[in-house]
Amino acid sequence: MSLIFSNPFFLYLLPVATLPIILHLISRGKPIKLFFPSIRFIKLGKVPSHEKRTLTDLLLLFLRILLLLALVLFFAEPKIKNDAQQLERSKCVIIIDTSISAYHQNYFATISEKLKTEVNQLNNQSDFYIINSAHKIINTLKTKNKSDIFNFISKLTPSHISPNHRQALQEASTFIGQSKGTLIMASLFDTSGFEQLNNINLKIGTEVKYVNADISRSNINILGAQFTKNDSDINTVRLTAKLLNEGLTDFKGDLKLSFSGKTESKPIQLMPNQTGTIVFNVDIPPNSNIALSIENDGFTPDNVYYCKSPQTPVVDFLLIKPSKPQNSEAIFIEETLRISNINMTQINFQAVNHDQFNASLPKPPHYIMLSACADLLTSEQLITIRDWHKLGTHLIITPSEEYRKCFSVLSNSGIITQTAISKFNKGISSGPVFFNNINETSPYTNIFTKNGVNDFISIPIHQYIRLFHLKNTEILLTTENDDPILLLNRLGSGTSFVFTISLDPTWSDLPLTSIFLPLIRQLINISFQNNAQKSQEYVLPGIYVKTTPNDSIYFLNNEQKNIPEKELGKLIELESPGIYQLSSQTYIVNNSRKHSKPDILSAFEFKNAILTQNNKNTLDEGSNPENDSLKNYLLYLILLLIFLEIFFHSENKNRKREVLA
Amino acid sequence: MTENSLENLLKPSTLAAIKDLEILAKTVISGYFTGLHRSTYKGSGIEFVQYRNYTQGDDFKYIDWKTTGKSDKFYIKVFEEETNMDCQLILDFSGSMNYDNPNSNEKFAAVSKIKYTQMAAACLAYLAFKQGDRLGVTIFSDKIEAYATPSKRKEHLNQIFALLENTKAHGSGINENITRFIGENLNNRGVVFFISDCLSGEDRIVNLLSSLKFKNYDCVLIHLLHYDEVHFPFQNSHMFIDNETNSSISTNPETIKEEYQKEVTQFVDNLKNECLAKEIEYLQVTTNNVLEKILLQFLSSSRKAFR
Repeated sequence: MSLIFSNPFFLYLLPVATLPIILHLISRGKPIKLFFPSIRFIKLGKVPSHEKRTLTDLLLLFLRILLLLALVLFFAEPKIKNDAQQLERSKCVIIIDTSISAYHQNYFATISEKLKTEVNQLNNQSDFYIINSAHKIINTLKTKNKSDIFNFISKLTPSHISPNHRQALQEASTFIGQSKGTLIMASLFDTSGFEQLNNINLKIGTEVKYVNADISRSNINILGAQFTKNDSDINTVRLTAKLLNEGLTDFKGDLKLSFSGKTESKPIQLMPNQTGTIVFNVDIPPNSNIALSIENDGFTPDNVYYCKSPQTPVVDFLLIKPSKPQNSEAIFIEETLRISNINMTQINFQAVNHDQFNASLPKPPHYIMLSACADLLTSEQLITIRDWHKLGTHLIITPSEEYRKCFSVLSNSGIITQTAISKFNKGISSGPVFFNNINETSPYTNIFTKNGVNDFISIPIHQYIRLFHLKNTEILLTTENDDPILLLNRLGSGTSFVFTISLDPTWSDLPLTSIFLPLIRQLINISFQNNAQKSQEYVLPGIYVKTTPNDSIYFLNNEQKNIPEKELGKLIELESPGIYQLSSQTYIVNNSRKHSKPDILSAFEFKNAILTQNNKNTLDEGSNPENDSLKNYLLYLILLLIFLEIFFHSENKNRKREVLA
Repeated sequence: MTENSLENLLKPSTLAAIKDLEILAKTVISGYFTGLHRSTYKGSGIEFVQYRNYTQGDDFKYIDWKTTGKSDKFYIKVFEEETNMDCQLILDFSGSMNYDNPNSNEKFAAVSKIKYTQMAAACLAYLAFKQGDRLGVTIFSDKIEAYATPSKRKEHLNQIFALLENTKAHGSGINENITRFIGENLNNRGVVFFISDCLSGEDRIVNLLSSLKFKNYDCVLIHLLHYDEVHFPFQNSHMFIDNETNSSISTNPETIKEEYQKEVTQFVDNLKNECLAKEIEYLQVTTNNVLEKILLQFLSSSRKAFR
């Protein structure tokens, strides 16, 4: 019988027990000798005997040391290990996996050699039971001689069937019985087909060993690829790959990117269960077939992930302009915005002619400016714009000369709620009207209050459109006649800004003034902030996320899903792969397990299960009655010592008080 | 020099630095009494000192009629008084008077009892000399260490200073032989200053002084205790050893301080009451008290004696 400790590192704290002695020595020291003539007055008083006090102090000191020792031992968790149990552990079962996987390349030879080494270390007095297992028990041998085991191993032949060791494990369990034996499982992987270990009933304390071929068990799962804008070339994109090491060992290798006959590779190094991100700084043309691949070990097939780059690059701001080149207004706006974009906003800007516009963009742009061409759009184009607008695309609309038609089609398609009544044309001879009122509460127009009132008052307007508009329209700017110049509509998540003036210089001087660009930028920036891109997270299926009250609607692969009101704030399970767009976060659920064989993920889970089982064994061993009582005794001792310490301490104090009284 | 700084200068701890007792005595006396007192008593002696105006209550026989006739004012002739009084200093130089605490951090506990006794005795001797009294000194430990018969000569004073400086404190203290010796040798009337810590044989001391009272001595017992003996300022564990008997007690002083101080107070009160009962003047001083207390007592006692 011997004493072992579950947490032996706590024993390093044993010197702490000397702390009371050190403190005692420091605080007390030797009494100071002093020749004192008035000693008779000390004698007359009731002097607490130094010796007596020293005795009490020593007792307290002893108690404190004991208390500290007991605490250290309590945390170190001592256990009584019965040597008789060791002797009892004389039954050994060896299960040898001879399924097809075990004979891959020359791995079985490696396994055999390692198994022999392991058997040599076993106690000679053991009863051995060798089981040749593939899909079922094929052959067995019970022996007390180790050489018989080696002969048995050398005669083994492969089976061509998948492994299933349930029967073998049950046999092993029966053989070991209640005697705490040793179970050795030999296979290519330490996990191959031994999952059933969890389902058999082994005596607590049975030693479980694995003998395997030490082949790499790393497995990199490519969770997905994300395309990002290319700042230097808006016509191409760049790729960011997200990876997870689902294997059991560290992985060091290369991630290969192949597209349009080009190959690029990047080194990666991931620890088990670690996620990594690899950014490829290569320009990938739109609509390219892309393959991301990782070479795994010789046994596991390569992991390949296929995807396609977006058909067109991601566009943040789309200017739809009339195809007629003579439209100087649109050309002016395009050029102005291009300069503005480069210098300031850093957004992906694209301009298309009205007849080229279609719904082919992979993602709706954040902003569309309909520049004097609404009247030229087809109903299909208008419907696309309206749908995007509803989902969050913001619109800036300026009418053309055909202003009635412009307002009519936009109103009929539901994009705006205004219709044109007439054109106000004061004429150059009678003088223009001017901006008069700003909606100062609107963040879109605070640019005017920043730049000074005179800037816009001096802008002459010669022509504008008088509108019939609904009450829910917000007016941002008006003329001195109180007619709206800039209106704001909302539809779904989108916002539209409608000018009642064409940006042609014959209508007003606005596009030529210093106000125009800041105003447009203000409209764009604020809408961008409102529509800030939500963060994305790659997750595996089956995770639960908490919803918020804003998540009554969420999107799964752009399909709207409803959460009942009573379910809000609770957890929802992201069960199937796809893109879950919640109010605060986008989750990309990707399951690429189909790419890898054998099923390493479940193997990983199995490994965890084995580890848990081992821990359980340790814990169970700790919970045997003897060890439990030892722990309890320590606890009682600590409590007793604390009580005694308090008692003697107060006793000591009381004595001093009595003396003084 | 301000009063405060003078006071500081005359603190026992400061005076202890003055090695020469004569200088020390002069310093103290001049410090306290310059301009306040005349050094000798004037009265109806033999040696003429001065004239002064007649004041109500003066004896007519001292009026100098010659001068009065010349000036139309009454003048009194003042003579230096011939007292023929003894000023006896009886000093305890037993071992307990040696007490000094080298570990003490107390700013007041700077001098030992023996040093304080030497300083006080020197001052008293000098003052007595200046008063024109005959000065006698008896120094004892467990035997008579020194005895100087009363005299008013200057050389005598110097001899007394030398005795004070050269005699070491030791031994157990007063005994029967000493009381007998003092009783036999002190026969003239006068004033006796007995300086002792009274830690041993206090009854014997009181009885001795009481017997001296019958010989027309005004007795003053100056009960000198060390600052530590009164205030017991010790901390941490101490082993107290009696330097007369070598018995020891180990204890934590903080736990017994209150009890100790009670005992000391009771002892002092008892001694005081006993002195009071036997008409002995009692003055309790500690080594941190300024010497003024003793000198004032001297003046008050000697005036009483001469009345």
